Amino acid sequence: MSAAQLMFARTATQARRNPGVAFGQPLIPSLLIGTIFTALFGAVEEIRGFPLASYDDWVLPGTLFLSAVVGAGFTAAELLRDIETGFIDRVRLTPADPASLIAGRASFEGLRAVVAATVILAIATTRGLTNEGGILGALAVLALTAGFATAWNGIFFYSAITTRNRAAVLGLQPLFFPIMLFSTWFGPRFLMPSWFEQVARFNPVTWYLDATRSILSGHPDWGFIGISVAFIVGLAGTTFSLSISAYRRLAAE
Amino acid sequence: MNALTAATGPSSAVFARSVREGLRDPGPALFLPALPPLLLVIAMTSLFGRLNGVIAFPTGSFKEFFVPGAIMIVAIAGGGFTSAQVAEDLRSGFIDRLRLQVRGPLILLLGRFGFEAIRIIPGVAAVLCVGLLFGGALPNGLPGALVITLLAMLLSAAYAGLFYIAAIVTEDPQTPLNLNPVGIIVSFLSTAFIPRAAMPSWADTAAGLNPVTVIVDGARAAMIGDLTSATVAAALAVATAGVAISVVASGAVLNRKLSRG
Repeated sequence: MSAAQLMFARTATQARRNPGVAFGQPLIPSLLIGTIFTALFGAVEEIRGFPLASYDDWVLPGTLFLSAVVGAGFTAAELLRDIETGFIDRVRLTPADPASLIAGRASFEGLRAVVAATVILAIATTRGLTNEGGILGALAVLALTAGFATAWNGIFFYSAITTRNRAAVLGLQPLFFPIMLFSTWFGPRFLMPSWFEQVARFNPVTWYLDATRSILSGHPDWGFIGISVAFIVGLAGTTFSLSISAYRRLAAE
Repeated sequence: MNALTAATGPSSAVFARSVREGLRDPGPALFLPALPPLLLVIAMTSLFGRLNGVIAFPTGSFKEFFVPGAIMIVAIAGGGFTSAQVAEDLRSGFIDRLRLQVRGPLILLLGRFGFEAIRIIPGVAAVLCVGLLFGGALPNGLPGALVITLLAMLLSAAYAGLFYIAAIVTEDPQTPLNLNPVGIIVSFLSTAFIPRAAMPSWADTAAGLNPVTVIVDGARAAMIGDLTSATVAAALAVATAGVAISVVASGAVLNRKLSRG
C-alpha cells in the first residue's frame, strides 16, 4: 500500500467514526436547500423563455454543486488534528512524500462528494429528473462534482497548514455562498440584468453548473465542460502546490 | 434603588461584557449576520423581478415583498453569536462567580439576550438601505423602519434562546454553531421569500405553523402596509412571547445545570 492509500484508508476510518459530519453534512443541507428552493420557486419555470422542462431540472446541478462545497474542510480538519497530536512528526521519520500524504486525504473529499451526489441523483431520478445523458452522463456529472469538491478543499488544506487554526479553517465554509449567488444557480441568464450576467459569465460556479446541465440534457457543451475542467485542474494545482510547499516547511521545522 | 441596582447590576455587567466582546470581534458579531441577507437582496431582486407575472404578490411586486423578509433574516443569520460565550462562561466558572451576587440565574442571561437584540441593528439598517436601492419600498417612513427594527431585535433575542439552551446543555462553544442550518429551514419555510398562496401544500402547512411567518408578515405590514393593523400587533405579540419563552426556558435549563453543580 502506498502512503497515499494509507492516508485515504486512515481518513475513511475517521469518517466511519463520525459519519454524520463525513457524509451527512454534504448531503442533508444540500438536499434540504434544493428541495425547499424548488418547491418555493417552482413558478420560475412558467416565465416565458425558461429553457428547461422544469425548475427541478434547473436546480438539480445546483444541489449537486452544494454537495461538493457544503461541509468542506472535513479532511483538512483531520490533517490539523494530525499536526496537533504529533502524528505528522512520526510520519516525518518515514520516507513518505508529503504530496502523497495530502493526496490521500484530499481524494477522500472526492469520495464524500460522490456519495452525496449519488444519493441526490438517485432521489432526483425517482422524482422524474430529465437525464438524457444516461448512465455515462451521470458518471460524468459525478466525476465533475468529485473534481470540484477535491479542488475546493485545496483552499481548506492550505488554510489548515498555514494557520493551524481550526476556527480559521471552518470559517471558510461559507465562502461558496457569494460565488453561488451570482451564478446561474437560481435562474437562467435571460432573467439577469446585464451587470449580473457579466458576473455570472466569468463565475466558475456557472461553468460547472452549465456544464452539468448540458451533460444531463444529452447535449454536452464541450466549451463549458472544458473550461470547468480547466478551472478544477487550475484550482487544485494552485492550492495543493501551495499546501505541499507549506507542509514541507512545516515538516522541516 | 439598592434593590433595583442589585437586580440589574449583574445583567448590566454581562451586557457590558457582551458589548466589549462584540466590539473586540465586530465581524461575526455585527456585520456577518447582515451579509447573507444583503447578498440575497441584491441577487434575488435582480433575478426574480419577472416572477411578478406568474405569482400574485400581495405587495404588487417580488422586490417589495422580499425586502422585509430579508430584513428579518438578519435576525436569524449568524444566530446566537453570544451562545459560544455562554458556554465559555460556564466552563471557566465565570457564571459560578456571578451567582454569588444574584438570586436567580436567569438574571445572568438577560444581558446576553439584550446584546443579541441590539447587535443586529447595523445589519438591519444595511439591508434596509440596500433593499430600498434594489426596489424595496418604505411608504411608512421612519415609523415603519423603527417598527421593523424592533421586530428584528425581538426575533433575534427569541431565536438566541435555542442557541443558549444548546450551549448550557453541552458547555461546548462549537455545538450551538452547528445549529446554524436551522436558520435556513426556518427562513425558507416562512413567508420571507414568497406568499403562502404560491407554496405547495406541505410548505404552506409548515409556514402556517412557523412563528417566523407571523413576524415576517408583520414586518411587511409595518414597512408597506397599515402600521396600526392587527398583523403588526400580532407580530409584536408573537415576537415578545418568543423572547419570554426563550428567556424562561434557557433560565430554567441554566438553573438545573447550576443546581446539579
